[in-house]
Amino acid sequence: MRVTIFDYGAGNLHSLAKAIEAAGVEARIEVDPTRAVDTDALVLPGVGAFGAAAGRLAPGRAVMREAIAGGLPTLGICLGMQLLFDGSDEGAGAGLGVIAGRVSRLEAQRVPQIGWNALESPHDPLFDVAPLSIAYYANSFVCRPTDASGVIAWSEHEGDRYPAAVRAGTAVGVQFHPEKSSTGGVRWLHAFLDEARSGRRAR
Amino acid sequence: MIAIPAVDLRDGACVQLVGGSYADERVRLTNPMEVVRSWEHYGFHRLHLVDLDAATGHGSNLSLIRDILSDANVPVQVGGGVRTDERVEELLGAGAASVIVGTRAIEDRDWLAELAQRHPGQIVVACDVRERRVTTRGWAHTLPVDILDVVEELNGLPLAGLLVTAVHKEGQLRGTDLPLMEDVAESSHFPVYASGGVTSIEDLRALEHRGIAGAVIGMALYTGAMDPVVVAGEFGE
Repeated sequence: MRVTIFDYGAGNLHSLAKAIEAAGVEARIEVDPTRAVDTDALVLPGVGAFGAAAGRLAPGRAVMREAIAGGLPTLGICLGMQLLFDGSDEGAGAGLGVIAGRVSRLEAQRVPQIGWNALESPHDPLFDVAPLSIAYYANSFVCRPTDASGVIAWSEHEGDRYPAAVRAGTAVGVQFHPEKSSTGGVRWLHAFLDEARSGRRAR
Repeated sequence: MIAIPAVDLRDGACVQLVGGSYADERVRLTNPMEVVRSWEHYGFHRLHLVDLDAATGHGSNLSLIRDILSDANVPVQVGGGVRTDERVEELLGAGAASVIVGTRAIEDRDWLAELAQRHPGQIVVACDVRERRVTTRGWAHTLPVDILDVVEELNGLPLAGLLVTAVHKEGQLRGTDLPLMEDVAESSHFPVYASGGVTSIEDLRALEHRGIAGAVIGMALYTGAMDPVVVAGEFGE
């Protein structure tokens, strides 16, 4: 199976690539959003800022959106999750609009949230396969979906409850960093890859 | 990435040592509480508090640490000579966001594993590294252990992070050990914090680009080599 990490050009993706490759799959890093969708699973990584990433995404936005709507297994991590939404208060530009809603700043005194936080009521086959009760976050912004039915886990920071994870079909977004959440997080990441693999086989 | 000012306590004062040497104290500020407030005032959102006396077994600044924790408005990670469960509980109870464990964590993995499982996301392991080797006991000994081997062993634990101090770079204002930090960040299944030699905003950008979660800054902030307004503006959060 080929896994592609879409590179917004913001930072080091090797840690994520290594965590993916530990599942025994090939991880490719691709800067061209149009080419990035030529893959079995797409990963939108969690480094950088919304505006810059949306800018890199723009030329291939329609193609990527269509591919995801067509069932391309996609995992958005942190900023990558936020890119699944319509837009963000952090910066200009359009997200993929796979999930309706916007991204806004955490309503808290202590921002950014850098550290581990508990996951509340995780409910999704991925969490059944790879249970996760706590995960590592590094974020100032969170997603505010118009419809909460796609939220598959919540977290709370200083009273602001926000989606820890969302799903829309084969696209999954997580606000936390599974690749930095110890064995449990890496296992969860691999569960996503397993799902992607079996989903591709089924089609 | 977040920039984290270091507040190192010795005899009730806030100090900075060169190269981790207790004989080479370069900075001494007698009111650590004021120091903490000023870092908050500049816009830093996390602090790194270390009891150097406890680390060397020559005293304790515990009551001062308690005062600082109750006064602070930002998360504070606390360490220095933490070798028992009791001290970990004590510091967390006093309001530490996370507790940094060093020597014993490296030497007694069973203790560390049990501790990390009991306090997921609250234990930071500090590894002092000289070149690529891990050193312990107030930097007196260098173990023949490669830092990347340690990372691999720690990867199964729900750590708040791994703090890598490049001892050979510390306090010298000559930049950080980027290849070391990059290799550690790539191999880790937990956040990595870098310390030792951070001297310029370019050092910080380079560390961020290499996937480091936070950089502890000491000497450069205390000597004015880095402007705290600039650092906090770009990396305060």
